[in-house]
Amino acid sequence: MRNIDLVVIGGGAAGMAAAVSAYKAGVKDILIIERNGYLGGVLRQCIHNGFGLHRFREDLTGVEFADRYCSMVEELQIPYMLNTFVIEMNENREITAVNPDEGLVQIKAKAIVLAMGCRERTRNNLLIPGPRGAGIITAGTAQRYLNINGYLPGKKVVILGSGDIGLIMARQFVLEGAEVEAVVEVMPYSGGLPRNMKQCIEDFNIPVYYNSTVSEIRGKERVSSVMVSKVDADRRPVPGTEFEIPCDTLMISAGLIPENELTEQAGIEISAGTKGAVVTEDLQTVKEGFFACGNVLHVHDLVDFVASEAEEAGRFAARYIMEKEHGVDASCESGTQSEPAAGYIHVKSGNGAGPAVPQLINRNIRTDEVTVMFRPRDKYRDVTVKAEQNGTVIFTKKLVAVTPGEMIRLDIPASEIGASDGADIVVSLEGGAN
Amino acid sequence: MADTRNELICISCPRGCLLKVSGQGEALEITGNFCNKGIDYARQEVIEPVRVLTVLMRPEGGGRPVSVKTDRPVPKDMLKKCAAEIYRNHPQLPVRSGDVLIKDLCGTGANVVATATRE
Repeated sequence: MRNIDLVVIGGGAAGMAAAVSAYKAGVKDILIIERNGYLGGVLRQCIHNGFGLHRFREDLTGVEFADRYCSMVEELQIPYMLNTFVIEMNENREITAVNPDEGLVQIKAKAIVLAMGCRERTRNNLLIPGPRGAGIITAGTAQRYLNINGYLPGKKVVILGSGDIGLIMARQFVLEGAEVEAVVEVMPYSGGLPRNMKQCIEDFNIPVYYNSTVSEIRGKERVSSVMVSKVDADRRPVPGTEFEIPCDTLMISAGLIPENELTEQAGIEISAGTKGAVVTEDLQTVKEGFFACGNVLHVHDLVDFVASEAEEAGRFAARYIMEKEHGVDASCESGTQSEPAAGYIHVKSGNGAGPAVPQLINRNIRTDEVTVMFRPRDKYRDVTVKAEQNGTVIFTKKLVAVTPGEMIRLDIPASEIGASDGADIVVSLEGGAN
Repeated sequence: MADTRNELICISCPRGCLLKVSGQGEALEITGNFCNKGIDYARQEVIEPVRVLTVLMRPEGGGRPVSVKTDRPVPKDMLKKCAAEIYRNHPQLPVRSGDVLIKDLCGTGANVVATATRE
């Protein structure tokens, strides 16, 4: 078994950013494990621009953004293993992985950063009836076939869901000479960013059907058409409202799910709300030495935010390793991470707020501020976002408009958080529903 | 040409400000913008909408595609024409990210630049 200080699982934006920042924070013995034959993750198939405006103050394509981090990894000579798949991870931070060169690889790490990203909701997740012919594909898979392999996987496309990848692919299909017949969205509003609705859908006059869903797929060998129905208040198809759209491809862009099988294997608690690990403000799970960041922790809007979260996770992981090494027990005041003497402050979601990250805050906070992130449950205008503790407002922020497609971030100064009695922090929204 | 009253979603960044545009020409009034990019975007959008074009080029002799972008925005009305022109060209490998593959695309003044490296 090899011993390595810090193992980063996943070589996408989150993994590379975490590794680079841990290295800069002083941990040099790092290994990134990546299942693909290249670093960069999903960014390698994102040929469109709009990346890096926050992180690099430049408008980059996804591929260019990935290359920035690849260069940093190469420059610092941080080791990485490609084509390597982690098949097992236990709570003692022992990892079993396989790759074609070495076969079985076993590693024991002092700390692990979980950066496995997420995967797409499929037709099976959405329970759409009909035959199982060719031509049913998720937006990200279509993007991979086209931008990595060079194959256009359809000529006449209906898109179910209005997630950003689907919107981006609608534009690219049109530019490649395919027809995009419709975007069908179950909610009364788009699930993607407003700018993508504008530049990918409106710019190309693609019809959008809100409050609607695909209720049936037709075609034996290959999709020949889909039936589109209006939905009721419970988002179930209303019989009699259906109409047929001929097409050869149904592309599904209906959300992302963090990929946490390994996390669960190690016995790390998963939040039912975010589908990612439960973490404290230092992005550490309740199992000591495991850190999580990026889309495996919770699905982000922008890779810029993935990278900045991952850089923090890398720093916290490095601090953890160095404090262990120098005998400074980071948790000496609070007990171990799994049995904190001082206990945690729980972050709860109140009115209008979706599940928050972090779910827990250590009572001995060691940062100047705590960033709490969550999505609103609905679209609202002129809202006041609040964090309360014991009925006292400890932080507020006014926002002109919020939508579930955009994460809300509250940077709460640690000094405002009353740690003494460990009362819950409740985040909520107040304002006019839109 | 400019609309006298209009709402635009700014596409300059992911914030996607809802811009309210009124008036005409020099007297164009823009509100709802978070930053100055919104002003520039709205002024351009009411005169002639422009977009950065990002598509693929298939290298000569086949193989994995090379992603490219225009190094400046091109008129929205010309996006399909520009894409078709890019597809007619097949770069020779190797291509390095940043290489200019087509100059002055369809008379727009924009160059087509590789955004990926292929050996």
